[in-house]
This record gives sequence, C-alpha cells and structure tokens, in this order.
Amino acid sequence: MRKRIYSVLLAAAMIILLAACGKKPAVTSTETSEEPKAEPKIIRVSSENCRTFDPYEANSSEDAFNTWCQARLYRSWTKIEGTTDTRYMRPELAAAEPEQKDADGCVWQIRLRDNACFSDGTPITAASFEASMKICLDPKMKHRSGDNMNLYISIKNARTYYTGGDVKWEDVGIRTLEGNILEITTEAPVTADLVMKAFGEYGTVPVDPELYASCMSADGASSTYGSAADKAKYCGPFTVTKWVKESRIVMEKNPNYVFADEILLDGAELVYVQNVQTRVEMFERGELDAVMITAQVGEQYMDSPDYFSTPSRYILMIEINDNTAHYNAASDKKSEPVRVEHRPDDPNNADVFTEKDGKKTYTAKALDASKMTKPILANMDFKNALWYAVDRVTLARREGGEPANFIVPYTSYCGEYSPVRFRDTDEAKAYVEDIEKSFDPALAKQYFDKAMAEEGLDKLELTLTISSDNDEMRICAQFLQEEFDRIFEGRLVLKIEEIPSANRLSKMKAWRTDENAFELGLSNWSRLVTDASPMNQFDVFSSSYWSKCNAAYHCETVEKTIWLQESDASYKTDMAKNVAAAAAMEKAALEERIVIPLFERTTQSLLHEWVTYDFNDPANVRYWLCDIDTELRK
Amino acid sequence: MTEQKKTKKNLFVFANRPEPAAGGPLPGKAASYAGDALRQLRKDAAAVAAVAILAVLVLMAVFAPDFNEYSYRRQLLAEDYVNMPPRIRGLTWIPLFNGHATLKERQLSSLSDTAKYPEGCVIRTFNERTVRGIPVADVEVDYYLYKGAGEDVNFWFGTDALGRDIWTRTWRGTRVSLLIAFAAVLLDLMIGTVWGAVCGWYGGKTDLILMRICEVVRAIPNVVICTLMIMLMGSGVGTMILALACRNWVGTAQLVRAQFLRFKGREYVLAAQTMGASDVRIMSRHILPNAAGPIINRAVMAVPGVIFTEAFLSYIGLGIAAPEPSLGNLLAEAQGVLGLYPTQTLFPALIISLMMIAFHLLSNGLRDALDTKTY
Repeated sequence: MRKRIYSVLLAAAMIILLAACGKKPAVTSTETSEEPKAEPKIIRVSSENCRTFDPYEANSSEDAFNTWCQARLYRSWTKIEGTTDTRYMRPELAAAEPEQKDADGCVWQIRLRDNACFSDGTPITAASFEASMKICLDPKMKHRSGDNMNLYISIKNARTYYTGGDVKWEDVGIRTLEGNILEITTEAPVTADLVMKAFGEYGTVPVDPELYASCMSADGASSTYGSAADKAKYCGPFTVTKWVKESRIVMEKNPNYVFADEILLDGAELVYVQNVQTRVEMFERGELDAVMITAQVGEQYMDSPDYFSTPSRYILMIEINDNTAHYNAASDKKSEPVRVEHRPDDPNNADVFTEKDGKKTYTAKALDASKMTKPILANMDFKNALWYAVDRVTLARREGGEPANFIVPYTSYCGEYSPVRFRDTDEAKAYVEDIEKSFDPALAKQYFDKAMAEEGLDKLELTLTISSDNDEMRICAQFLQEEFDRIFEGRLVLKIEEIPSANRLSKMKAWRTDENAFELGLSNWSRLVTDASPMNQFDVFSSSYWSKCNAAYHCETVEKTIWLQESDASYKTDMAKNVAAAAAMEKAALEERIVIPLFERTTQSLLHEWVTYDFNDPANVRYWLCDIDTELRK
Repeated sequence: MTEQKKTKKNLFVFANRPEPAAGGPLPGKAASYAGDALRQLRKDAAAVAAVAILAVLVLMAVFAPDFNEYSYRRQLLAEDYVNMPPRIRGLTWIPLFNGHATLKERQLSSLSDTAKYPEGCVIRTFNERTVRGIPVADVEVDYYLYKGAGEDVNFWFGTDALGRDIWTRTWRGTRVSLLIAFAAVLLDLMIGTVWGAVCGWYGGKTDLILMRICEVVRAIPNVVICTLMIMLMGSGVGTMILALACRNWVGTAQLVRAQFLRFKGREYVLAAQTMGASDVRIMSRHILPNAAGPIINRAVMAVPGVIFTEAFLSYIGLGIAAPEPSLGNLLAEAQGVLGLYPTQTLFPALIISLMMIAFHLLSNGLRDALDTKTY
C-alpha cells in the first residue's frame, strides 16, 4: 500500500516537473495589445579591476581603467570635442570660455552653468568647485591628481600648498566670487586655451565636499569616497548604479548631466574578467560587446574584421634604481653620505623639512651611498651595456608593439589641434639612432666587461621587478633574462621578482628613503594629458613630479628645462618652442640612459559589429565606452 | 667496566630439545619480510603498472631533455617559432602531432595571398560567416609551413609564447618536480623518523615537549610556511625542498612515535635491553625495521602530495622562478591560452596526472604488501 502511495506521489511530482519545463503558453490577444518596449541599448565590455571611483585617486597606469571609466562619470569645465580636423574645447560645467581679468593673463574668471548638478540633483556651484580643489590639493591626502594641477597652468601657490608648504588655502589662486564665478590666479601668464585644458581633465572634476568630508578618516589623510557606487556623486553622462567588487559595474544614463539629451546609450555593463581566454569566449558567445586581448591572443585574431590594434601611448621601459647618480654628481667618494639639494628654495622637491627661526627650508633627503649594494647600477658603461643588449625589434614583434629607442611615444602630437607627431619632427629625428643600431650584442658585451672591471665584479646578480598580473611584462622579463644571459655570457644573472602592481609601484617609489628599494624594474608612463604637449612627457622624469617618480632619473637638462614652463607660458602655447625643449630633454635623457626604452605598447581589442569607433582619431585611445559619448551621440 | 665479549652462536643449545628436529632444517632460504612484501607487490597488477609508469617517467625526466637540440631556456623568437603546435615526423597521421593549427576569423579574400599564407599551408576552411560585411572563416593551416619552418624543424610537444621547446621544458620540469619531491620526502623522513623515534622511545617529558612542538608546527598552514620561506630565502629548488619538508615531517614523526610506542614493550626489545644494547642500537636495529612498513608507505604517499604542492605553489607564482621550468609553472603559463593552444597545457597536465595516479597505485600496493596481516 505504501509503495503504491509513493508511486502516485512520484508520478505527480514528475507531471508537475514536466509541466514546468514545457512551452510558455501562447500570448493572448489582450497581452499583445501592449506596445513592445524598445530594448535598452547597453554596451557590455570587459574591464580591468576597479579600485576606486575617487576622481583624485585613480591616476596610475594600473588605474588606467578607472580613469577611462571616470571620464564617463565625471565632467569638468570643458571637454575636447570633434575629430582631428574639427577639434575644439566645449564648455561643459562652465557656462562659457574663461575671461581674462588682468593685462598679463594671470587672472581668469569662469562662470559655471546654473543648471550644473550632480547625479542626485545636488547643485555644483563655484563654492563647491573651490572646496573640491581644496580637497584635490590637500597636503595630508597627497592625491595623485594634485600633481596634475601644474601640467598646463601653475595656479598661484597651489604646489606649495599641496606639498605642505607654509601657505594657507586663502593664498592659493582659486577663489569663489559672486554669481557662481570662480577666479583663477596663475604664477605666470597663460592663455584661455590653457586654462580650459587645465580644467578639462579627470583630476580637476568636482566632488561633493560634504559627502567627501563624511568619508574622511579621523586623521584626514584618506577617504573612502568612491569606494562604493553610492559613495560618490557623478556629474558626467553616466552614473554607477551597481558595483560588485572584482566582478561587475553597472552604469546608467545620468538624467542630470548637462548634455543628457545627447547620450544615446541607455547604459553600460563593465564585467571584470581576468582571464583573457574567458574574455574571448564571452565575446564569441555574444556575452560581451568589446574585449581587450593580449598579443598572444591577437596573433590568432589579427585578420578578423573585429580585431583592432591601437597604440597605447606608452613605452615599456627598464627603470634603473641608480640614485647613486646623485652622489656621483656631488662627490667623488661614494662612501661619503652627501646631502644633495635640488632647488632648495622649492618645497616641491623636499623630502626633508627643517624649521629654523620660524623659517622652513626644504632639502632632498640625504641617502647614504655607502648602503648601496649595487653601485654598478649608476655606472654609465653598465647602462650602455643594457641599452645595446636589448633586441627591441624582436621583442616588439612578440608583444605586438613598436620598437622604441626613444621616450616620447609615437602618438604624441605637437599641439592639441595639430596632426604633426613629435616623432616626425626634424628636432626629434636628429638624435634618435636607427633602431637596428640600438641592438649591438658585441658593443653591449664590451660596455659590460668595462663596467664589471670598473666595479671589480666577476659576476652580477640583479633583480628585475615586474607586475605579477601582467603577462606582457612577464614575457618581456623572461626575454630580457635570456638575452642578458646569452650576451653577457652568464655573468649577468637576472632574477625576476613578480609582485602585484600596486605593491610593485610602492616598492619602486621607496627609492627616496631606501637606497636598495629595487634594482631594475619594468614600467611605463601613460598620461593622456601629455599627448598634445611633447614637453609634458618629461614631467615624470623630473623632480617636479613630486609623488610619482619611480626612480631618481636625475638628468640635469630635464631638471632645468621642465621648470621653464612655469615661468614662461609660451612653452605651452608655442609648439616650436615646446618641441625644441622636448627634443633637448629627450636627447639628454637618452644620452644619460635615465631609462632603457623597449617598445611602444599597443592595445588590442575585439569589438562587435555594432560598436563603432574611430580609431584614426588620436583622441581615441581605447574603446572604453568612447562610443557612448562620441559616435552614438550623432 | 667489564669487557664485552662476543658470544658465539654454537655455545647456545636448546634446553628442552636434546636432538635436532626430525627431518633437519627446512630446505631453501627463509623468506624475509622484504622478500615477502616484494612477492606480494608483484601480484598486484596495478602496483606493477604504477612502477612501470614511474620508471618510464623517471627515465624520461633524466634523459628526455637531451633528446633534441633545444635547451629548456632557448628562445626562438628571432625565428618567430612561438606557440608552434606539436609535430613528430612519422606520427603526423595522429592529429595531435601533425603540426596543424586553427586560425580564427580569417578573411577569405586574403587566403590566396601567399605572402600571408605560403603555398600549401591552408588545409581547410570551416565555420564560414560574414563579419562586418566581410566573408571570414576559421582556417586550419599547416602551422610549420605558415611560419616558414622547414621539414627538419619539429617540436614534439610544440613551443610556448617565447618559442621555447615544450618537450624539453616539460621533461626538465618533471625532473625538477621529482627532484624536489624525492628530496623533500627524504628530508621529511629523516627529521620525522629521528624526532618520532626519540619521542616514542624516551617518552615522558621529552615526548611531551617534542610532541607539543610538533603540534605547534602542524597548526601553521603549509602554504603560509612555504610563502614565508620563499620570501625569506628567495625561490629556488633548495628553498622549495626546505619549504615542503619543514612541515610535513610532523606527520612522519607522529607515525614513527606511534610505531615506537607499539614496539618498545615487545620481548625482543626487552631482551636487547637486557643484553646491554644501546638506545640507538635498539631503536635502529630492533624497532625501526619493524616499523618500516608504515613509514615506507607514508613516504610513497607523501611524494605525490609534495609534487602537487610544488605544482600548486609554482602555479600561483610562489614556486620555481623562471627560466627554470616545473610542472606547476608550465601549467600556470599555459592555462591563460588553454583554448587557443591546448597542447601547451595537455602534456604537463598529462604527466602530472600520470605521476599522481602511479604514486597512489604504488602506495596502495605497498600498503597491502607491507601489511603482515595480509600474508
């Protein structure tokens, strides 16, 4: 009897299950009477991992994705619009172009739009903008974007304030006036174009000061602003509605964006997929519309109409921790600690702050040369050996890039509206040697033997620090390891140290306080903002780039020339002058081998048919949502 | 102190047996414990197969890296022999070794371009479709012809992203993995046996203190110990051996201690003590041989565990540093392109799987063979 009951129950369960698996019942006439809803237009792209949406924090190459994301989430006063031929600065949060208020061109006023507001409707006023800039330049927080405040214009006392100098915020050249107007005072005369450029970048976008303050730590040195979807307010075309860490970011159109009507996409979904193979599979299954691929995968797809390769605008290079160069410059005796003073009047270069009779002085920290375990790193013959030991052509072919024996990438243009590339100018061509000549194993061996003899070494072991999450770097490092072993006949043993990107940068940047922070490293500088000013490429190789230098670099010509921009704005507006200065700096930097450039990287992508994108436009670097506010807006 | 005299065997006679047993001594050699175990092991087909597999793997690990002209670190980037599929002359009838590869989404119009696709390299096209209005297809090509490699160029397991021969790297990796495993297990046995013997034999406070130390060491996760040691000493074969042995010995020590506790009260041990044998002699000559079965079994069981841990550590980037290959880092490098170049994963994975299975089968067989209860 019990068996029979069980059988009946089982049969019933199966009937229910099968019924559930059956076809959906046909739609009745009453249901079809409703108008079919238009499919929301959403782009789904693979993304890098996102660390924060704080616009003042994400500014390193590892945060490149964040910056591109942020370009869609935030707006500043202006934005570059148009294609190569029709490029112009369009006021976004600003109501109009800035007005010059003095004869020299040092005081500028800009009025903000009355309807400018954040995604939640909070108004963006001149006062909130000023408060945002105060946060951006906060000396305690040391935001990376604070460095960028000097790129196009030098705001009065901004650098001193940012570096913790003896300046109050009231003395900084940013002031709120009546009528939603912001007044900017610069150190040297500038043009309206430069002012607009300066406030067209992600580092100069407004944040909600109240929300930012509520996210601050007790000591005021850090903030959790932007660490979650609801911990930030957005003023760009899109807002983040959902953010699952290390998984997914969902963006929706921002109805409060000043040009909201122009955005045709309804949203975007950014999916973090670490494995490139998985990305490709998702692309092939139609689960993603755009994915970034590696050179290895690119080999397979290079003939596909969906495959696109664009210059990444940065050069991978070997960084050398040669801060003994400071000592060599100042003293013949390496064993004696030497206090090196870079522009002691400038607090930006300060590592050591001393106060005497109420007056602060700033000097570079004195490193103890005797603690250097590998003084050969500062040996010029050794650097020459490295320079000539790299087969850049073969390496670049492997990595799908362009071989580079120069520092300024091929994608650097001579001005915002110029179609002329820096690398094509006569000034730049004058000193760069033929790429084939930059690989000379015999010469490399000669230099190496000489350096080893000078340092009294028979065998040398060096550690090359790379990012563990970067396949490109790993392949490059193993290539160099083998090449150096072969060319230097086993006397140079290159050990590869793989550490996560963020840790690698922290380790390298510790050269300021630790003589042996690292030995060799692979890295690159990627700064969109420098593309239109060849001169600005050298910011990162000078002490003006206070918080970011990966190594000491220390090239006198770069140190002297880069500062000319601050006192003479014509270096930023007169492209002939700019190019000449950039060429002089690059020539000196290459001669002194401050870095060993390897190749210019490319970004390889697979895009679905409907994703249109103008790759010929130099403003477009990657596909990251570019179509959202360019192509699809037409 | 009295002089210890060597007693002769013929001085001893059976007290209650005035005459030798009827029929005299048994003919033939008396079977030893090891002989019995070996005979038992031979009966186990799976164990015999495992020994054969392991013998082949060990021989290949020793000699196979020298079977061709490529070294484990030689990169053939200048020749552009990167990511080559496997090809073995004479075995090209096997699809795996014919040197063919599939290129994705190739434009059909460009297939006739001999600069891109040398004469005869296109085998077939399939999955034809239109992308952005352009007819495309997946193309199977003779990759060696496609890359301009001659008939004399053969990579038996293919090449990796840097143009390194995977055959050489795989067998060298196997050698490294086996070396690490055997050395780590040997070290583990040495430390664990001595530690466990001392604990078990002396007992009391010695046992109490030493076993508490064991428990502390055992409480630390293996990966943590390995990571710390690698951070401290840098990655390398020596470090890996130390890292893998420095926690595993605890298990051996506990096992040996248990065996010593089991045997130390036996009559033959008491007899040896009565006759004045030293502690070391009793431990090494009387107890340890009796405890050998479980110890050997544990050692054989530990080998695949160590190989797997080494592979895991290398896989997550903590193991053997480049350019030295190990099965773990070969798999780690290949897994990123598993879909595109599956053979790069296939061979190391196959070898590590074979090793795992073989060691487990062997340890099962040994467990039965060394267990006296099964005789």
